[in-house]
Amino acid sequence: MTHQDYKEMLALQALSALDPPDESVLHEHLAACAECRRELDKWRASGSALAYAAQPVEPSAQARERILESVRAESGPSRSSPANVVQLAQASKRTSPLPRFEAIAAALVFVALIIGLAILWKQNRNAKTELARLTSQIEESRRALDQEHEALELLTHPDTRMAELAGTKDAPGAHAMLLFDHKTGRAILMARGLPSAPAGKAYQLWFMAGGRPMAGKVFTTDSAGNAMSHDQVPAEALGSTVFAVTLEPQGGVGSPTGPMYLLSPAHSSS
Amino acid sequence: MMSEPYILDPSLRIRLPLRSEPAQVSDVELLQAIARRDELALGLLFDRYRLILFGLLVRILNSRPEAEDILQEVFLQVWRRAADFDEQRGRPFTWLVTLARSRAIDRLRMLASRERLAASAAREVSDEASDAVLDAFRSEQREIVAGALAELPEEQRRALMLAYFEGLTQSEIATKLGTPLGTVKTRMRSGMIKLRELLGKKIESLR
Repeated sequence: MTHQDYKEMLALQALSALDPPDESVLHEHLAACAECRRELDKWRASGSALAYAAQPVEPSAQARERILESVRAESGPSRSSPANVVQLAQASKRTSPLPRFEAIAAALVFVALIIGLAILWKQNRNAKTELARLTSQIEESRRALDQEHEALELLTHPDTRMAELAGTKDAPGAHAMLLFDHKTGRAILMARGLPSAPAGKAYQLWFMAGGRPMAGKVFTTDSAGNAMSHDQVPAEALGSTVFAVTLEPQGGVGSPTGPMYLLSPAHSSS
Repeated sequence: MMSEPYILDPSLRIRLPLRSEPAQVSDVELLQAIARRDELALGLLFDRYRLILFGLLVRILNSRPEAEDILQEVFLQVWRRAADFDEQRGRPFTWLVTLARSRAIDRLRMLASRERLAASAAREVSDEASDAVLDAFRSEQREIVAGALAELPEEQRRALMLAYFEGLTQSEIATKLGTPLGTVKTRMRSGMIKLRELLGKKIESLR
């Protein structure tokens, strides 16, 4: 095939009217011939004029938007202003500044929550301390009430003996009563008007048995100078009527060392 | 309907509607903008050529739904390949029309040849030529082309129209017209040469 043959095929190729075998042969030639490629472009220009021979037809109203949507789906958000065409209608979406403000607001709320939680936690801790204090107070009151019940019970018991103790010259205003079951020895000492024991010291109850003092419990007074002590009269001292209270070291001693503040008189009443 | 897009040309400071008047922005500039991912430029190109392109597609495919599919394909391809457009090789209009026709002919040729020839036979061959000449022309370009076609000998015009709007190859045209293949080749080539001469410098005014 001569070059002229190829050239003569170009016009029909512009109309894509070549039979497939001719078309393949021409394609091979075109790959190597720039002159024929340029000539083909010119034939295409002429051929495309034939499009004007068709009746113009309006596509559907949705066609334009469908095309733009398919284009957006392909390439994501587009720019809106080329260098030499400035449009007034803005088609692309702008990202709103709102999310930033929302993020800041959310952060502030979060911080406020954290602070609130911290305050609540601290309040809770204080509340727990307060609760513990109140609980211990309640328990003290209950113990005091129990002791009063016990004293009352002892008072009304037929086996109960009562001894009075009078204040000595070291505590002239002091007075005490010792209630004790002369069969079991269960005893309650109720004292009043005792001065507050100095630091490291407490009052101790003594029983007399066979001329020898036997140690009872240690106790302290409240702010009013009153004291109540539950004790146990030793069996050897159950027949005795002599009782004494001295000021001793806080932990108690085996034999009286300190000054005597209360002493029972010689006789007791039943 | 959607609002009319306007073009503000910074150098001319003239606002122009696009529907009927020649625009100040060239097709080449629109393609360059499209290459820079300017959606609006694609829209403007669509507005400018939709009537011609869709008319061509409907004429070739004889189906509006099919024509709409191809129209969408064409502009998607324009979006993808705008950066490849080479001004040295021809005009944007030629590229658009060639692309549209090529896609339509491919779609048409998917049908069995026999079916296609049968559908083609159902149309009056002579009416096609007269349709092309007697259509009401609304634009200068269409008048120029119609005038040139009218000056072609009928056999040449008929062969060209069959090739262009029905996508028939020269053998298929020979079969349809009952004319020898060699004769068809000669008529078509002569017709294209004459058409090119007649359009000649008038092509400059055609997009």
